[in-house]
Amino acid sequence: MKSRLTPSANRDLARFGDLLSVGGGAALGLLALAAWTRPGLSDLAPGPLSAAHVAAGVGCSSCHGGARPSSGACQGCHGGAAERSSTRTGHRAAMAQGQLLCADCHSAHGGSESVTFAGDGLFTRSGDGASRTSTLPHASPPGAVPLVPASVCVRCHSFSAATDPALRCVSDPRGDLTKQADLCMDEHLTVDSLRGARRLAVWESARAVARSTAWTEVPARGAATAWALLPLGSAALSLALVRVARKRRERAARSAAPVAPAALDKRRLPQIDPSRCLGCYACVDACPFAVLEVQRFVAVVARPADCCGVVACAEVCPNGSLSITGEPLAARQLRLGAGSLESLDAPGVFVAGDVTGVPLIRNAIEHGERVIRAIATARSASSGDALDVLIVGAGPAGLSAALSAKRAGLSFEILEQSTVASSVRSFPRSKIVLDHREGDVANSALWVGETTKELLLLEWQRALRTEGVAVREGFRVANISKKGSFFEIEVANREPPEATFLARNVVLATGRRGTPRRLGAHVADGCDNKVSYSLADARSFAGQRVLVVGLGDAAMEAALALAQQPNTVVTVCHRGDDFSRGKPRNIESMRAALAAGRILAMFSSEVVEISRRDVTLRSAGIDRTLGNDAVLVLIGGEPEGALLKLAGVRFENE
Amino acid sequence: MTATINPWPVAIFGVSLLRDLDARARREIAAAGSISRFAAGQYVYRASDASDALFVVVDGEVEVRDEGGLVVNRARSLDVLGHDAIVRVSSRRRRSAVCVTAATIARVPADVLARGLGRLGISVASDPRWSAIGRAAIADAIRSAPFAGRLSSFDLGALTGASQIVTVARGRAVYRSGEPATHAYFVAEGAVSPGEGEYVGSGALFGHELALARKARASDATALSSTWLLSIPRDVIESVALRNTGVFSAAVEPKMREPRNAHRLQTARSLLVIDQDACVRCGHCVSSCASAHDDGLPRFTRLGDVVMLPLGAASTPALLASSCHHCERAACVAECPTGAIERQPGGEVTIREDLCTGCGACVKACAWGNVSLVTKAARVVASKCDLCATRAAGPACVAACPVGAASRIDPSQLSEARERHAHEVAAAASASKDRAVVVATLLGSLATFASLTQASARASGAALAASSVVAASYVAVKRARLCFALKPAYRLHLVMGAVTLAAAAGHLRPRLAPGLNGALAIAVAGTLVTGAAGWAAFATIPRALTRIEPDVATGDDDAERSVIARSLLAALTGQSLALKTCFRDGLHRYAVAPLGWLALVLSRRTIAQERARIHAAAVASPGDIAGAAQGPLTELVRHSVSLRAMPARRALGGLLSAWLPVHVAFAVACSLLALLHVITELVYR
Repeated sequence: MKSRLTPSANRDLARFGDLLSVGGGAALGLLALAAWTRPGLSDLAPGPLSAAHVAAGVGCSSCHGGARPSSGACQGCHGGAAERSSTRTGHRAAMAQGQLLCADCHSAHGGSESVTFAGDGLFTRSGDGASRTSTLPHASPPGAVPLVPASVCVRCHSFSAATDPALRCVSDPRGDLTKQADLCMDEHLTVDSLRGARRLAVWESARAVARSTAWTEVPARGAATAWALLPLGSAALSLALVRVARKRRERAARSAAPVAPAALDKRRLPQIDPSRCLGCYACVDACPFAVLEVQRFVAVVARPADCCGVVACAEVCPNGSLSITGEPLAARQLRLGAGSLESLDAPGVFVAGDVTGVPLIRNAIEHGERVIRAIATARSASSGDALDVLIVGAGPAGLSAALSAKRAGLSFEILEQSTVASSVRSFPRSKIVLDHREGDVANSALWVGETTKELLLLEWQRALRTEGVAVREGFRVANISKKGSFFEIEVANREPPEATFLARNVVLATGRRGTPRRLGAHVADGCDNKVSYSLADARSFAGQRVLVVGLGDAAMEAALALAQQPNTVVTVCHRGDDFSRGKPRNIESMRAALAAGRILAMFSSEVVEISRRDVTLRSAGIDRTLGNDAVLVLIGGEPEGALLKLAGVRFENE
Repeated sequence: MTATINPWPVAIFGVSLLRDLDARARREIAAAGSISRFAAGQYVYRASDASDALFVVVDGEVEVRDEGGLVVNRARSLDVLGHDAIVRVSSRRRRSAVCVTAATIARVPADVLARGLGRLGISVASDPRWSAIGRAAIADAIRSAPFAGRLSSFDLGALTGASQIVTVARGRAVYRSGEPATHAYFVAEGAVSPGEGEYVGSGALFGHELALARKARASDATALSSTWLLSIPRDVIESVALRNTGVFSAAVEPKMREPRNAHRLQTARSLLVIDQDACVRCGHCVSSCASAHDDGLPRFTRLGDVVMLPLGAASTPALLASSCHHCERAACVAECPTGAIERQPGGEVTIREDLCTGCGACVKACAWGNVSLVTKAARVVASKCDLCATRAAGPACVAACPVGAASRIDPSQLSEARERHAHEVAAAASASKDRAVVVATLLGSLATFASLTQASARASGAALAASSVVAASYVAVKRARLCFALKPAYRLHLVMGAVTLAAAAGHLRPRLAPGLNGALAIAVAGTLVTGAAGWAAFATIPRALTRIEPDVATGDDDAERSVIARSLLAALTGQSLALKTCFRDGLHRYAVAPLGWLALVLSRRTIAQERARIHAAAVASPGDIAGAAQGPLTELVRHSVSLRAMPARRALGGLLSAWLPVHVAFAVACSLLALLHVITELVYR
């Protein structure tokens, strides 16, 4: 039983794991970027140091002596307090109280610029971490002028108030203040002071330069964006990694699930200890053939004849009160290796599917995979011109083997005497293929579930098409012979020419319906085609009088399907005097149909003659003739014993 | 109160009801039952308690009183109390038992006893030794029927005398269509679907109309749970009906649609319902469930049927999450072979892991799939919701819902739950009021911080730091193992998010700084923008998503797609060429049309409305499909609409959750960078 409650299967839980990985990924990404670029203190500064400061070799500690730089830090290079103090009354008062510092106007990081005139007619404009020397000649005495953007003024001043004294320093109060230094230059010296005349000329030139040349753009925005977005990327990466890992884990858990039943080569019966049986129905639900039933709260083996020897019931028993013991039933026993299904008598010949005596489509699929695994493991060298493996039969086992061989990279051919999965195809229309343990083969190339025959065939054909496996239909194997380490397989084609294959290994997946058991009755000349051995489509019999011979599951299902067709008369002919075997569901439906008169049953009778318009049945020595249009013989089939014998596969009791 | 004595005193098994049991049954009863000490005046059971066990008085004296308080029986040492529990005709006690003196009393689970007897071939329903109990139970059941008040004691006696107890397992037929209607049936305990889409529960009579009309059954009647019926022969019901005209027609319960969900509303005692219009599909309920239990495994999934429930003022689409319903008469309790699942006096159904064998009988018994097998300490055991028995504050799933969409309700008191929920809805009125609070906070703090910025960058920075730390503390609340109630924390997170947004607007400069400070600004903006986007998504998307979600949430889109593909194939197989053409040219194109999903979302139609529209369009289209293939056409339309809605569900679901990882990544980057920023500012300014 599959639990939806494990963390990996529950999406809500998985989401919370995802978020943890996102957070961790973002943090790791940030730390990795830090380790890679080794950011210094300057990266944490509000902006890069101005070019003049960089040129003068000023570092962080030159100004930040462990605290916010006071005006004293600037005066070490730029001169005394008296000379550098502002000429404006308000500024001077604020500076005296320590509320206004040099750095408030002349920010060393970002925003402040300077113009330096060398005296040779050229000037240098320096901004944040960059400087540009202009080739445009300019007549100015040598000197340097710091450009203070009007944006620093708004920390104290308001340009929206008409009375603000700072308003006369800017030309465009509503414009970009960070790019304006037009008038606000006469701060530290009055014009009429001694050196005023020369400085006035320098200021005027600097003002012209500030107007005519561009302000420096603060660089390194890209780095900021990278720092902010890299964590996002690394978070996405870790999320993707976590999801991929989860998916891989799930896949591994799924593919680990199929466990080959331990003792497929023995047909034995379950033994139930009634003093310990819980009556929990676990075994009943696990058995595909309804062999077990719970009566009075204890499981009992109700239909031992239907037991297939697959030990699903013992696997699910919660307290071990059901075990598989006892002697093998007298049944066909091929001498095969338990693990590989390779014939013990003819190495290189593998047997898979129904032909081994183990029923169920699910088992056949597992067999096909198992034999190819064994062949691929044992494969030592290239087979040269010969095939690695030749697969006979394109039923579930053969198709599964072919798909596995394709995936394992083996060279192979798959031969089929009629058409792909013809036995499955001959199931009554829409017959439900019951398979209880879907999980076992859900991962396989061939899909089986609670489904109808049509959908099953569609899925298989899709699998063959997408994997590119070509089945050679209409090829019947006539002879298998050993040539050195190879097998030579002669094939009788529907039409000449006949072909011969050379293969290192042969997989016989011929099934058991390959040769249906024939009716012993006398068939009148020209009436062969009214007798069929499988029911392809019940609707084609609508309006006819049909005789169904046999009372196994296939016969009952066919009879029930036929009885549903309009105006169809269905008669069942059975040698026994009552239902002897079959699924309870089928028997129940048959009894209901018999009671309702939708099907007529002839027990203890057999067919003696089939002619054009009727059939003759003999019951207790008395012959009865019924009007009839079609005869459907469903009395089981025999394995392709001849092919097994040709290949050298031997039975246990031979 | 409870003390387990093992083995039990042999004398207990000497009482007449238990005498036949073999050693194994005695061992199992001792393991699953209990021996308790009761004080004088204490009730052993009360009327209307669940009736699922027998009691054997070991010593002391107990009085049994009927509804009127009259003492009808006295039990002393080695007398049996409450033996009507073995006949499962009623799940409720009709009398109460109270201790006269201090007493020691052994509790014998009825289901375990029935199993022990059953293995010996003693059937509770038919064995003559039980007939007196059975007769009394039948009489009680008939008396409690809605039509009983209109019948004379003679008629009641006739019905009681003629009734037989019939037990039907879940999914089995009571009768099949075409059979002659020889009996009417009274549902003593359980539920039956007497026809397609119909439902009758405990206390209802069904199958009598056709019996009275002497016709054959028109439909199959299927038991929806393990059901105890009283079968009443046709001639008895005929004679009673002749004497009392119209008495049974009044007894017919209104037929409900969706028998499955009608049944669960009838039997469940604690449903985890999630208001789909409010639910933001975050999964906190599941993850809190996982962290509330020691093994770290959740007890439910956020999947299941969506039904319309009268939760708020109007009918609300509510998800009945796959969490244990704690059914009144729980199938898992009855099916457990060792008595490991039991119903507590408070009504919660719990699993005793020491007795669990992991056989899976309960998993199969639960009609809603709410029990799972899990592997714990290399042992397979059954696991399901225990209503957070160890958590004083009640179920974690409800407490952990950030939007208050999850609630646990007792459907038998749906009107009360409705009031409580309505109260909650009104208190929250709900999302809209929250929204107003958030917007008001945002505007208020914007004004405050605008003035603060003027004063000092440091003040606005401190405010930004403080508000973001409070907002981020939501993560700690969420990750706390013993979850707090998440709803107030989520509201605080929203409000603080708004404050942070305002503070950031004051603190950040329009011009992006270079270096790490610029990165911090981007991360702050990213966190706030994604947070706001998430808030908007939570407010708007759930409703749109609910409209286009199917009635059953399966939670696996890939599986659902392949199921739909196969169902379409199956529905098309063997149909007429006209229908196939209609599908190929109309429905299929409609289903896979690029951006068709967007049109569906924008149309604001529900899935049901869309189906009706498409069905009408298909019937009106040229081609003779109207008469021939109504059934298959409905199937095709259903799957086509589901197929069209699938990308929309994925897109809306993605929008609902995709912002969160981005938000988290930005927030983590934000917190690391902010730490650096604060340190340098403190050191260098």
